[in-house]
Amino acid sequence: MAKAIALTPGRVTQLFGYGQETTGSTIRPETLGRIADAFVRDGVCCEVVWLHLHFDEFADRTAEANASAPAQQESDLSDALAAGWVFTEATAPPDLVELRLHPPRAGNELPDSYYADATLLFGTAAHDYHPEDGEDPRTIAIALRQALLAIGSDGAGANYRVGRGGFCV
Amino acid sequence: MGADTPSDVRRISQPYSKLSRLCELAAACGVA
Repeated sequence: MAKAIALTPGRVTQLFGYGQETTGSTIRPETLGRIADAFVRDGVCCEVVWLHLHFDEFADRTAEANASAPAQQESDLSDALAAGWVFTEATAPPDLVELRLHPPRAGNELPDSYYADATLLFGTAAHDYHPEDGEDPRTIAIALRQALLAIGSDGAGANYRVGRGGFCV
Repeated sequence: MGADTPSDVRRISQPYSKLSRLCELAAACGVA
């Protein structure tokens, strides 16, 4: 995503991270245009002006425009699943990494199967460092150099597998 | 559809939720 809109992952975190959910973000029109274009290329109807709307109206517009998408066709079951879906947040330090699990969607390949989409976002965290040796305090940037992602099963009846086209870097 | 760039720069409310919603729609289209 970050590559598609010509931003660094850290910048994406600054603009779209959970920390901006309350305050909002001021985003350049060119960036908004690239975002809309990227999603349109992926088959998602999206217009820049919708991003300026309140979320409820934004959700209505995107849902209406993408009504033929598979997720909408199975929306009733997904809504039922989402009703029992609890979002929890654990971020330390802020902006370094975020993992969000989206509400599960019913699968159509195997009976009683569900898709659980996840968004994993790597960014850059700013940490105020106060040296004990008398040096001036400074802000240091913390970022990951390597990350290992593993998907496993607990072996107690739950089976997981990565869906087709399941990774995008 | 979708490629216009308004000239005004305004604050985008709930950017996290909006991007997440678009990502969910993209995932539904088979894009990870």
